[in-house]
Amino acid sequence: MKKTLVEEFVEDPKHMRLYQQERAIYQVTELLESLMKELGVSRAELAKRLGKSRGWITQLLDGDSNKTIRTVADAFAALGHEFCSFSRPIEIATKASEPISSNGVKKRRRARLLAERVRKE
Amino acid sequence: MATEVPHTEVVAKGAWGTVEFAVRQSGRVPAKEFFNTLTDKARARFLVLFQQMANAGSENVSAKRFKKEMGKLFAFRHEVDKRQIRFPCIQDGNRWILTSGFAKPGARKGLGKWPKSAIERAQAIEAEYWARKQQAEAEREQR
Repeated sequence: MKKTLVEEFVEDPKHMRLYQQERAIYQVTELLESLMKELGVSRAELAKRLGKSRGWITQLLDGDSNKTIRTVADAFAALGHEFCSFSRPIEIATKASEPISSNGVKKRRRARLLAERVRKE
Repeated sequence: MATEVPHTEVVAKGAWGTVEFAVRQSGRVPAKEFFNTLTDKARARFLVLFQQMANAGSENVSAKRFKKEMGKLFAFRHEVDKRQIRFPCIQDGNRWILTSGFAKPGARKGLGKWPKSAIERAQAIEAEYWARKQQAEAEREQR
């Protein structure tokens, strides 16, 4: 079967690393944005809480500037949340739909813990 | 027998569906041609977005990254290195067909809109896509 462009692109290890970097940036910025929406916190409000400008928040959410883990954790903390992360073996195309939202992450974690408990029982 | 030019090339495939480049009658692939002019970083960024769409559908891609623009035209959107890049597309069931790609002239007043040429191009490719699809289906029925 013919490979997709994504599959061809990530065959090069350099491109795969770049792809994974962009994927992580995408997931974190989407998570942050969905959390802001869920909590009703505007960009201006988050900027105020962090002591930054609105433009700085836009840069953070666009994912174009390279922010540190400390900065990201600080943004989540300003929203009253902990920044959690997990790793797994690389899987480009998912077999099931995986929504990116703070709720989605919680649901997946809950489902995994439940499955583990059932397996033990 | 003449070789049939395919309608599309698959960019990303996932649980929800696919994202594909539209192939013109001439064999040219405008969205791919633009895609290949981008930097590695920009290409990786868009491929993540296309794969996310293929994996989970438009409901799980934020409006900032994917938006209805005009008529039946939607667009994948990203800002990379201060360039606002757009990939216009149309929906065909569980497939998003990328018609073309371009960088917006700028965010300043009067320059923020899509260039007329980019709109006309996307619409022309859209019309050609539907016409070729219809023609292919008619030929298949005849056989």
